[in-house]
Amino acid sequence: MENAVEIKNVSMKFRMTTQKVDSIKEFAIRKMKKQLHYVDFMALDNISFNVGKGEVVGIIGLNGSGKSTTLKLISGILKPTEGTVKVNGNISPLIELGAGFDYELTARENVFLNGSVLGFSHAEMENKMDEIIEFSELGDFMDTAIKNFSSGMLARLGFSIATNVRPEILIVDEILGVGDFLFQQKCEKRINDMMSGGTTVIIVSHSIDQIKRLCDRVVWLDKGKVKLIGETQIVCNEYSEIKK
Amino acid sequence: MKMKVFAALEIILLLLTTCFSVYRTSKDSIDNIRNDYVCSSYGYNDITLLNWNGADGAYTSGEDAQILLNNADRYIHNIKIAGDISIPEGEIQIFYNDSPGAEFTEEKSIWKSYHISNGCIYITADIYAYDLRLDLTNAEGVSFTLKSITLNDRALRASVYDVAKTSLLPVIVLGLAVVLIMKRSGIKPYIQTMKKYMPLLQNLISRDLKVKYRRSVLGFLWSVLNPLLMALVMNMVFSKLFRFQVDYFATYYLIGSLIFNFVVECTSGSLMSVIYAAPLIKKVYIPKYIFPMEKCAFAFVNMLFGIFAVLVVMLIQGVPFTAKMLLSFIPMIYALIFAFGMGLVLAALTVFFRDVEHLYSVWVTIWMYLTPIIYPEELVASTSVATIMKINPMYYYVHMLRSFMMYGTLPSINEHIICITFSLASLIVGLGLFKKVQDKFILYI
Repeated sequence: MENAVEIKNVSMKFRMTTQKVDSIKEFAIRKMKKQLHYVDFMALDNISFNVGKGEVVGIIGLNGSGKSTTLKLISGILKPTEGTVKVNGNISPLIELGAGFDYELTARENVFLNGSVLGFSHAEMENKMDEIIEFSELGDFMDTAIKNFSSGMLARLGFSIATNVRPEILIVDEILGVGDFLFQQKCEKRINDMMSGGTTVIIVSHSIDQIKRLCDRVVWLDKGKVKLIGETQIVCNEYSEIKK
Repeated sequence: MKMKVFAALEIILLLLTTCFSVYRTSKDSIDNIRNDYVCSSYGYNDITLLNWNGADGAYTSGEDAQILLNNADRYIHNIKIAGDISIPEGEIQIFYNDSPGAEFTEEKSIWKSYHISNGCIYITADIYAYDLRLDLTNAEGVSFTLKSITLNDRALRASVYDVAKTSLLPVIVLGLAVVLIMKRSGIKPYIQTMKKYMPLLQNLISRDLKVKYRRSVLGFLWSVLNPLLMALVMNMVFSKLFRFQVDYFATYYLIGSLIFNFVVECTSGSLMSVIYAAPLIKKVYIPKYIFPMEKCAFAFVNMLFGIFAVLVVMLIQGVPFTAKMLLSFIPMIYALIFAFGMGLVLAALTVFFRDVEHLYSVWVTIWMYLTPIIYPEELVASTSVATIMKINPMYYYVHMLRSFMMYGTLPSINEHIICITFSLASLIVGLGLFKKVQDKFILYI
């Protein structure tokens, strides 16, 4: 099976100065006084795993175990300190919905803007416009500036764009809490549809139920290391054990 | 939609300019034959020879040979004197006044070097004169027969070949160099991503334009009105109060500030661009150079609006339009590349050091006074400031744009080489630095 994502010996090290230095003046003074101290923080320590095409993989772990860092590495926002991350196919990150919305512009203009952020042309978005409007149920508000939108409306629009661009890889970070319960059901159905349609999905969630319901395989991260990879059932059971 | 209308207007204006300049050119070639010499320049024919002791139209050594041209009343870019000449190249003294009947005084005299080719003396005068007198002092001891004298209020017409050689060739060379640099830096995969993100670039530019103009009643008119009003103020302050000897001061100022403000807008826009884009960069992968690039492109569009203001002022002041104005895009592109490179450096620095913004705004003020924008170039020509001026890249962009737009001259190939060198150096440094540190941005924004 071809891999959609290959993560090989990846380490992510954050270097933090103990006190934030963000001006030339301060930098120069501290440099002279030799007061520049750095603390290295290993967010990820030599992790490796692959995600096959069409697979649904969950990532679980306690807070601070490196889940979000892993997602950011996959979506290319972060570059690994060591190791390689290889991604085949375009990614639609649901890390936060509606990246790049401009609140002064109308919903319609924002569809194009958000689409281009994800790397889609005007014409491509034009084709998807009807579907996006229909799914988000915002037909009457498409020409309203989104600064007047409620957070639920924004989330609906964002989710609708992110899933309607038919990405090959979808990254989901705790987002299935969008809108009212009817819309939530619609979202889960949409993600299920995409999975059966061959989209690779990577999910981060604290809800073991959700992971069990959706995932083929699970990666368990613990303090920046891979603790266990395998069948959903086995990993989830192990993970539940430590909770007790 | 609006954008297309403006683009169309811009093109129409340029076409009108061309037609106008062709019309002016044909008018320029009227020759008025008087005696055995010809004086041409839009029907101008008031000429007197003093101390010419030979037969009609001849001078054999004696007192300074003087040519008196009355009622010229125009900006004179250059003077061409044709005749049988055997004098060495040297300097000529030009006396002039700028109102009828005023005395020729020492203050109103300039020494100009001339060169001889094809049996003609060419002098670049660059003055406004009502009457003027040429003293061929250095020509003592030689004989000279005058055949014709021509005053040009703009540079002599250049042939297509000249234009191609001195202006288009450097641009092509620059284009090749840019392509080469990009190829060398292993650009292939980058071009793929760049293509993918072109719609984003467009969207960001149109967003900036919408946000800029949506909230004001006059909308885009401000882009034209603002420089117009500035030109008015500057014109009053500097040409009336300080009495700078610059012809068409408002135009002179406006062209200088057009390109200076463009570079400043590019660079200071780029400076904060990455930081302002933080919400986006934190959520999705986007090539980060897109943001400085977008600011530069946005500033470029704004500059195109600004050209309207320049054209309006040129019309009001009666600055002759020439076909060479069409080449104005050349210095603009040089400046764009320069500003982009500088923008990349500033954007990268600002991510790590926020006070770069304040330091830079101080530098902009200094930079403005180091560039001849509100004062004539000649003012500092003989001072130590001239040296600083000569190492200031902005000086060359400003100078070249004025040549094309205002004086109708073709800058020498050297000027092009200097401009290109500055632009490419800035681009290489910018790309290099940006590429090296861009992966760390995310940790600091």
